[in-house]
Amino acid sequence: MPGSTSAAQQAEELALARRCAEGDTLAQRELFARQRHVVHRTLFRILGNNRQIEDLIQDTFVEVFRAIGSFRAESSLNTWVTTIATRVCYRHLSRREPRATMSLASELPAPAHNPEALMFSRQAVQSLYAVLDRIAPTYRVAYTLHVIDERPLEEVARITRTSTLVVKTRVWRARQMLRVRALRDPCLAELLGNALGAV
Amino acid sequence: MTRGPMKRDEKFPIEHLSDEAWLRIEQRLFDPAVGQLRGLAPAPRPTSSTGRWLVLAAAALLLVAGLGARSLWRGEATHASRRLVAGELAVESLLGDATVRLEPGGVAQLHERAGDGARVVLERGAARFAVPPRKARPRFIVQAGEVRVEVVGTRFRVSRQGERVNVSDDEGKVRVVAFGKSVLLQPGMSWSYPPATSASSAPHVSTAAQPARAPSAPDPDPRATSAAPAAPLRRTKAPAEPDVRARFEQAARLEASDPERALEGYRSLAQGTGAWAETALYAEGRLLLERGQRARAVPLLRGYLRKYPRGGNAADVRSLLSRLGEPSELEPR
Repeated sequence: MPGSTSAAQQAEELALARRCAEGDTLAQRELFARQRHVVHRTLFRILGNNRQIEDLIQDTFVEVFRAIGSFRAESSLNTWVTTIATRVCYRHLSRREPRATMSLASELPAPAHNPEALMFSRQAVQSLYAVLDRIAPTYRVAYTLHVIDERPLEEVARITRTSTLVVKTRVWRARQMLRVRALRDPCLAELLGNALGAV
Repeated sequence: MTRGPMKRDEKFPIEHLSDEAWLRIEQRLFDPAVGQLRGLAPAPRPTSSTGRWLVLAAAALLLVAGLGARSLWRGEATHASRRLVAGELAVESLLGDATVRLEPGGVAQLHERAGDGARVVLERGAARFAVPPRKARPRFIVQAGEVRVEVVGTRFRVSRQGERVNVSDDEGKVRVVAFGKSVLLQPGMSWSYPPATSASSAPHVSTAAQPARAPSAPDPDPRATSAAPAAPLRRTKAPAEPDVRARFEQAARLEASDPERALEGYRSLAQGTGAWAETALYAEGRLLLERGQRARAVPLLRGYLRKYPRGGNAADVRSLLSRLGEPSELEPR
């Protein structure tokens, strides 16, 4: 089960967290090195691009080190850090103005597919995040973590500190909104059908 | 949930952050002068409501201080950065009190921040470093992808090709930090990732100290052309005359153990012609300066600029003279 840890790993993570809480800079750097890609991946999945992500990664780690004393290894360090990253991201999304458009296509690295498929895919991802930009952050976070990042509902519930039922509802609502948009956007419709499961 | 034919990471590729971006984040967090974690010391756990309020007040103060520090970082912190690119020739540069020699084909960023020392981000290729013992001096760090080398005071070499990183220590000590683990290298030891014994690309590396390669042993990094000990040369012709090169390297090796003989070697070479003579003249001036012999060093460095106004080390000579408060702008003849 994602988020679960072995006893040895649990003890090791707890020891690292304690060293961080005691102000051990080496331990803090170690935790940063271990978790930075986890944080980046989570934020990127929710946001869909790297704009402002440096600030958000930074804010996440400031919160991580501020709260590290409260880490009790009840979940894995990965899940605990992801929870904080998600909270930081949620705050960011709640504060910002809704965006009308996104320029995601130029930012995505090119996967090895034929150009037509690639363009189709980029356009679809762009459309997807354009819709996500207009929906409530709670729906967006639940949808991106569960559908795009493929985390189980239970894990998303743990990360967002809510119940599985609530997560399920949020994902369903986000899907409904995407479905409406997909009626007018064949690229998005194909993406939702092929890659993200039936809406 | 049904899954489509394309893999998730292909459909939704993660755009990775550059080494430079990670470096910025790390510096903002850990910089002792302005880093946001500065002063984020552990607070005693509150035992009463009064204690809890005290902790909350302290946290608010820290937050304000953190925001102030962040503004300071974004606006006013002293930070000098440059990028070093070596083509067919090696390039040498000063970074604070250290010497960085980038081997042919290498690319590195050099960052220097007042109060927080220096950091080299090795983008690719190999570089040799000669760094005085840190002790009370500011930190000196080399970052090569996921691998960080913290210098205690030494001469060492780092090479990087993609994710493959090798660190070898010629003299003194360096600490290698990677994937949450660290190892202290002593003279004659080397460290590499991925380990030579493992073909897997597991994220956690098992470090193994091995004897350093002999200087004449072939280098595993195809970009690196020389496995000689750190030599303070700026530009060298790749297929250099073997005897001149050997003499230069011998002098370079003697710098720490017998500086007078090293100076003699440089002096003798400087009287010749070509790239090695130029480099030796610079090396002689630099070594004299390092040994506190300013009166002898300054005329030599000025002589260098007169003789080689556009030489490979001219910029560093001007920088040295400028630091000494000596006129550094000599008109090229």
